[in-house]
Amino acid sequence: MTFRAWVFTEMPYPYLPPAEMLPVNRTVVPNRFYDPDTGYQLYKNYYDIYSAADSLGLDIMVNEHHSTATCTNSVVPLSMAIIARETSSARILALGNPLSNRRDPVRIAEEMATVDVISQGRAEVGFVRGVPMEHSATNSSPVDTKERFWEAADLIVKAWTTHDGPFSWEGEYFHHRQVNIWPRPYQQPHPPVWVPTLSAQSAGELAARGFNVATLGNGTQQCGLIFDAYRSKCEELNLASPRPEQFGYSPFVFVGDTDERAKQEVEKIRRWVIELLRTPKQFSDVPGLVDARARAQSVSGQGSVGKSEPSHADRPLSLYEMAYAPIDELIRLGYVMAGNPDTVFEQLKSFHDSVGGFGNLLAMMQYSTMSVESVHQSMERLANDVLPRFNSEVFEPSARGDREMVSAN
Amino acid sequence: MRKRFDDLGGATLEITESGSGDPLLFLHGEDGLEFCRSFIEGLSDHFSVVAPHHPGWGSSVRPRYVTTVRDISDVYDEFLENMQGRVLVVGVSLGAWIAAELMCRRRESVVGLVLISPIGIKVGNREQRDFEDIYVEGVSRLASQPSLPEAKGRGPSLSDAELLHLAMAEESVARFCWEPYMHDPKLRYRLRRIKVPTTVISGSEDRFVLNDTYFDQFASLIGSHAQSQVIDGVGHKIDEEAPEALVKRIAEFNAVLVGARETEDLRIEQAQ
Repeated sequence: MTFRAWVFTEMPYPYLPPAEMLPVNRTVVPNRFYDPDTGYQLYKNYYDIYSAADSLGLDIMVNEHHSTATCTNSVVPLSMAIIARETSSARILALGNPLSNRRDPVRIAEEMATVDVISQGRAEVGFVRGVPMEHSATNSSPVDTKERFWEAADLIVKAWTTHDGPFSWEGEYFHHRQVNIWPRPYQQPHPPVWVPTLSAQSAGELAARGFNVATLGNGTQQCGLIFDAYRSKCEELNLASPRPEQFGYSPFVFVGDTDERAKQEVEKIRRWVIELLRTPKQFSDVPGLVDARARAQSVSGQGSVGKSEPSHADRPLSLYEMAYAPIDELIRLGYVMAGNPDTVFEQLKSFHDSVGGFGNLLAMMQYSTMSVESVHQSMERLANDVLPRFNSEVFEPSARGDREMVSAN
Repeated sequence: MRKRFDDLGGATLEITESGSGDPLLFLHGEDGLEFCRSFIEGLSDHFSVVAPHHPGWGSSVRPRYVTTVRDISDVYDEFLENMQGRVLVVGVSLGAWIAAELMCRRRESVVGLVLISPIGIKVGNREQRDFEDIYVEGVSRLASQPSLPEAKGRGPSLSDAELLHLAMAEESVARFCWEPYMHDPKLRYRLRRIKVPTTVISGSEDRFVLNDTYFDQFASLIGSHAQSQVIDGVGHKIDEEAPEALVKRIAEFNAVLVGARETEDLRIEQAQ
């Protein structure tokens, strides 16, 4: 059992005109603002980062978004396929396939099985509901996304694990008369499945299904609550205690030669977060995605922010707060891990112990205009100067039960 | 004003009844019944108004199998069977789409049809949207910044109950109107089956419907027994913007229907 660090970039296109000229950054921004030559160079950089990650013994994570400059990886099976051929040992995690926005789950099952075989069993498959902004970009209905998600997940897993097919599927949302995928997955019974969540309630459902849980950029405290809910559900259902590799957390990460230089570099996350703030409200507040009562309350509470809002400790930071909080505060709250290798080791150890242990650092290591060289150095320090020590001093003894985790909180 | 609930195959409808006179079934638009009370009050001066919330709006319950506008019209098909007398059916926007679907199949007991700013058909080509994309423009008043002129007159500060009502209404609109967007491609071919006298009423300043000839085409697809009329100076939500003028037009239309009926009755009497 080894602790894994997954290198992740959203493959941003960071050259949009400034917000004063172009107040939004997605869905309705004409692609004349995208220069294909620049795009070519950016893809080259991003795939070079992934190849370097593989050489360093790190793992790789990709995601997809649509009609947006914040993420130009719009088709995860394509990037996974490229990475499968360009790397030799890294595991390749898609986090993920937007199940609620894709029309054909069987096609997703085929794509992921294909990548799994090409990579000789290195695929790890994330299922995501998709972000609100993309219901317009993909024209997928914002209602019943949860129900569609779970039906699609069930169909994909059945397609992967049925070897005496074809079988028939006539569900509420998807119909197939002859499901019989070729190729079938390399890994048996199927590649590990990951689902990201920001709520403790959903974590229980993932536990019941044996899917790995990931939580992205929501701080130590929230992450701990989600992992606790997952563990509690396993206990409640008399399932085996979850292993650390079933838990993943995604912070911003930069490992520098000094604390000072690392913090300077990680300041670039601000540009990325500020970019996220350029999302027009109508694309992030789509009717039907969240319960109508919660949506109405979020509007009625607008006039009384501060009065009714819980303190930071009880909720994740808003994007606005993240964009303008001091880096030291973001580090303290677990959103960022940055510093020299010893400092990052301590941050990782503290996070690990505070959330009751976890086995996967889904490290967002490139953002905004951060250069390939800079990311390469950061990855090198992470791979050589942080992870071996973390594995031997913290992760492995904790996983064996030989070390007591000491929560910082 | 009286309230009751009717259960129709799992669709439990919250129904408001008011006024007296000839029976009128009112099918509300996208935002439900909360914001067109003065229109309903106006109608109640002339008619016995029955105004249900569609399944998924207000306190009406949507069974899981009701997923299309045609499914909603099925619910009203059954509902109409239980209404007494000769009914005038009046619908606004989405409610007019439901009413048109309903009347493509049903003739008994309905004497006339009033379609106010109806949506539901497609007249443009595949690259011409007939309706403004509300999800790009900002759905509505929930964002407290009405972007369509139709929303004028509704203050930015809504009560918590109104916000909840609107949030549920917007969710239901997303459910029934997301794709195909605000229409059923096949409805235009069914409209000829509407056999009752029909009036299509639109506002001259409607900026939600993008095609200038949309409402005229809607009426002509129904046939020569359908007329199209315009109220000047109002947008898409005529029931909110100009309730009095709208009630007047409906009362006039009904008077013509009643007059025609009386003439017909007289003719039959004389023939006998």
